Amino acid sequence: MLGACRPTPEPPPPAEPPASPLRDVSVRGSIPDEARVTDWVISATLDAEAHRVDATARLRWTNRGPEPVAVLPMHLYLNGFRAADTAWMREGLHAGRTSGIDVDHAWGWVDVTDIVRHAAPDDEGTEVSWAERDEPSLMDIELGEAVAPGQTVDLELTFSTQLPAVFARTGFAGPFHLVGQWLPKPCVQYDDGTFADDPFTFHSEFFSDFGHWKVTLDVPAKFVVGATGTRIDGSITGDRRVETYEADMVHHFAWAAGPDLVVWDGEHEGIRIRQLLPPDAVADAPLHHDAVVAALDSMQARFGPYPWSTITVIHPPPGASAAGGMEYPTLFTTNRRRQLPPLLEALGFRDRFSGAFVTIHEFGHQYFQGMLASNEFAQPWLDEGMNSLSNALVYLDRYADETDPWVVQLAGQSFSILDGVRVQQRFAGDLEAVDQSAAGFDPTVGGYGATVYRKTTAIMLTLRALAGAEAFDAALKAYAHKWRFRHPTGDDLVDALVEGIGETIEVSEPAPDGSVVRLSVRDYLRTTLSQADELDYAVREIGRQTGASTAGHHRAQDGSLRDDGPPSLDPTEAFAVIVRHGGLSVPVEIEATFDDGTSERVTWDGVDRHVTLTWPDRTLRRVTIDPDGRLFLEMRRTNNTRWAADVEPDETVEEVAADLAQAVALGLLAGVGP
Amino acid sequence: MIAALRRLAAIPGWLVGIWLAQVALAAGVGAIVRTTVAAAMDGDHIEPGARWLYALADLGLDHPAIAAAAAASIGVAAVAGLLAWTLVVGLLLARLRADTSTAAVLHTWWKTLPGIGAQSAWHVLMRGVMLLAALSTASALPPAAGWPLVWLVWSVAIVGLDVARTRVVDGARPLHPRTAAVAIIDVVRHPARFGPAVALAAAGTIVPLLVVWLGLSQLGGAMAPLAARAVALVGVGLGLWRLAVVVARTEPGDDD
Repeated sequence: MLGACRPTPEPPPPAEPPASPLRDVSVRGSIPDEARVTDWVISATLDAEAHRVDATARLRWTNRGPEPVAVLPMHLYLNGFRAADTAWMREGLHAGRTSGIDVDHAWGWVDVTDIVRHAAPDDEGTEVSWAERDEPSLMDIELGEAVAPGQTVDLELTFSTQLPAVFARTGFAGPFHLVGQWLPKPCVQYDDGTFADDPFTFHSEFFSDFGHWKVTLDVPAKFVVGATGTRIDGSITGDRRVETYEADMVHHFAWAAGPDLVVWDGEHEGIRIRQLLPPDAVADAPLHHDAVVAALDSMQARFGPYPWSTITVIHPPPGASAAGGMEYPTLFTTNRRRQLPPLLEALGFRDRFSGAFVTIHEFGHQYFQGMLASNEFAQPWLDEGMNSLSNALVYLDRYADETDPWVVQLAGQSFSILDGVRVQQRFAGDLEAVDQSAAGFDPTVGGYGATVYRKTTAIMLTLRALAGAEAFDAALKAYAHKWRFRHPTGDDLVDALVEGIGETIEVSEPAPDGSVVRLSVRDYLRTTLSQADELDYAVREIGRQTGASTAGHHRAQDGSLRDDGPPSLDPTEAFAVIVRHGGLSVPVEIEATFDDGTSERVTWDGVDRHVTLTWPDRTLRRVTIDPDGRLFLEMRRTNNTRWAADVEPDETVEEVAADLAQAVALGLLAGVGP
Repeated sequence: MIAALRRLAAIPGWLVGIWLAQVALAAGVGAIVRTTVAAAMDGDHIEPGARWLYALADLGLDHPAIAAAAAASIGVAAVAGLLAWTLVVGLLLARLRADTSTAAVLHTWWKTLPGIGAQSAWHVLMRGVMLLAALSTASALPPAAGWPLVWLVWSVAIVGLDVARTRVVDGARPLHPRTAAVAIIDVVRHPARFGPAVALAAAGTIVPLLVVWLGLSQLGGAMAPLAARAVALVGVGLGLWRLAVVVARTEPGDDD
C-alpha cells in the first residue's frame, strides 16, 4: 500500500551488548535473595525448516515454601495450542481468534521426553517420572525424594518444542520465529506451600518465579537473534550461529530469530535499547526508540529504577503481525506504525498513538508483571489494567507541557489520551467484574479488554482525580517499591493505596453547615473492582418551581390567626434533578450556572438514586455534572448537562455536527461537480 | 486560458447557480443531521469545551444512528449532485461552445443528453481502470513519486471526461466507448493543448480536501460553514474555468 512520504534513516552503528544483564546495583537497587527461585541453563537448537526447537534445560529450583515438595507442578504453556480441546483453544476459538490460522501448521506443543534429577552438578542423575494433566498445559514431576523447605532440586529436562504458524503471540511466519511460550516452567509456589497450577487460558499469559538464565541458542547462520537478557557470547560455525544470552531476575526467557532483520541499537541512561526490524519498518525505529525512552523516563520516576541493562524490541515482519504486541521480560514485540494515506495527512491527521502506544504498553509490562509479578490468571487487571493506567501516565509525563496531551489531531482538533479513556468506558460495561480470573471472562461476550484494561484505568484515574495526583502517585510508588520482584495480589494493591491515600478522602469543600462529603477509598476500590456495574449520572430536569413560603394563616402567640398574606404562585426557586442510572456510586460535583452569570458547585454523595437540588430566588441557566471531568469511570457523559428551556446555548453539538456534515457534503459535491 | 476565462465571465449565473445548488444541498444535509442529533439528545447537551472531536466521538458512540443518518444523507446529496451535474453539463457545454439562442442551446442539450450520460458511464469504468493502474504503478515507487503520479492520472481522467463530453456536443459518436477512450488518449498525447486544463483539474482536486479541512478545523467556530462555502465557490470557479479551457482547446480545427 502506498504510504505517506517518510525517509528511511540509516541504522546507528552496532553497539556492544552490556556485560551484565542487570544495571549496577547503585542504580537499580538491591534485589532480595528470597526472590530468586529458579536458575536455568538451557541449550536450544532451532530447526528452521521444521520450525522446531530441541532443547535441554538444567533447572535448579528452590523450595521457598513451608512444606517439603515431592511433586513439582510445571506449566507447559505451548501445549495450549496443541489441540482444539485445550483450555486456551476452547476459549480462543469461541472468541473467534481464528484469523490467520494456517490449518496445515495450526498446532504447537512442547513435548518433554526426559527428566533427570541430579544430586551433584556432574553426576549422571536419576530418571524421574512425570505426567501431563488432562489439561496439557500443566504437568507434574514426581521428584522422588521430597525437597525440603529452603532446599534446591536440580532437574535436567529434555524437550522438543513445535512452533505453530503464528496466530497468537508464539510461532513462525516463513523463516521468522518468535519463540515465546516455549519451555516447561515450574508453577509459582504460594507462601502456604500450594502452587499456582492454573491452566494456560486464552486471556492469561504468565505467572512465574524469578531467576537467573543462561541460554545458548543455535540457529541458522544467516539469522539475526533477539532475546531476553544480554548476549555474552556468539560465534558462527559453518551454516550455524551460536549465541549465548544471560538474564537475571526475570521470570521468563523468550527469543526471536529470523533472516533479513535490521538491528537498530540505541541507548538511554546506560540501558541498551535494541530493535530488530524488517527492512520496510526501519523508518519507524526512531519513533519506537522515543516511545521506549518516554516510557522509561516516566515509569522509572513513578515506579522505581528499571533494573535490567537491556530492552529488546521485536518488530514482526509481514505475515507475523499476530506475534506483535506481546510482552516478555526485557523483550517485547510491537506493532507497526499505521501507514496513513496522504489524504488523511492532507486533512491534518497526526497521531502519537499508532505503533508508539503498543511499544509503551508492552514496555510497561516490564514493571507490571515483569517486576510486580502478579498472577495474570487469577487477577489479570493487576498487570494489564495497572499497566494501561501507567501508559496514560506516560503520555501525561511525556507531554507535561500540555494539560491534556493529544493522541490524535485532525485539522487542528485534538483528541486526548484522557478523552480516549472516557469514551471507552461505554464498552467497559456492566456485564463482567474487573476483579476476576482470566478464565472467568466469557470470550463470546468479548468484554475482557474493555473491562480489564480500560475500566481498571478509569477506576484508578478517577481515584487519582478525587484523591489528588500527588497522594495517589505516592501511594502507587510505595506499592511498586514494596512489591518489586514479588507476587502482589489485588488486596496488596488496595492496601497500599489505602495506606498511601488514607481510609477516606474529603471530596468536597465544607458546606455552610460544616458537613463534608467523604469517600471511603477501600469501599470505592472494592465496589468498582468487584461489581459488574456502571457509573452513570444524568441531569433529569432543571427549571423553576414554587419555593418554600410562609404565606397563609398561622397561629400567633396570642392564640389568634395571623394572616401572612396570599400565596405566591410564581416559581421562586431554581431546581435540578440529578439521577444515578448506574449501580456504582461515587461522590460527584455538580455545577449550577445562573442567569446572572455566577455559578456554584455542590457535591452530591451519589448514594441515593436521585437528588433534587434547589436554589431559592435564583434562575438556572445550566447544570453540569462533573464539570472538571474527574469521573473517568462514568460510562456516559452525553447526559451530563442541561440548559434551561428558555436559554439558547452559544454552541451545541447539534450545530457542530451539522456544520461538519455540511462541510463533508460540500466537499463531496465539490468533488463530483465541475 | 484568458480567453476561456472571458467565456466564463460571460455567464456568471452558471457559477453562482451551481455554487448555490451545492450550498443548498449541503445545508439540507446539515439540517437533517441537526434534527437527528437534537432528537437523540432529547434536551441533553455536551459541554466539551474546545474538544469537539471528543464530543462528536461521544455522541456517535452513544447514538450510532446519528452517524448512519449523516452518512446516508451525505451520500444521497453526493449522488444527487453527481446526477444533477451530469444532466446540466451538456447545457453548459453548449452554452460555452456557441453564444446562440437559448432555444438552440436547449436543443443541443436535449439531443446530446443520452450521449453525455453514456460517456459519463464509460468514463467511470475507464477512470477506475486508470486509477488501479496508477495505484499499482505508484506502489512500486517511492511515495514522493507515487502519489503525484496518482494525482496526475486522476487529473488527466477528469479532463478526459470533459473532452469526451465536449466532443459529444460537437457531434462525436455519443454512445461508443471509443469516444471516451480517444478523449483520454488525446489529453495524454497533447500536453501542450490540455496541460492547462489538467493543471486546473489538479488544483480542483484540492478543493474538496480544503473544504473538509476547513469544516473540521473550524468546528464550533462561527466561521465554520462560511469558510467552507467560500472555498466551494472557488472550486466551482476552477471547474468551470477548466471546462471552458477544454471547450476552447477542442474547437473543431484547433489542432497542435
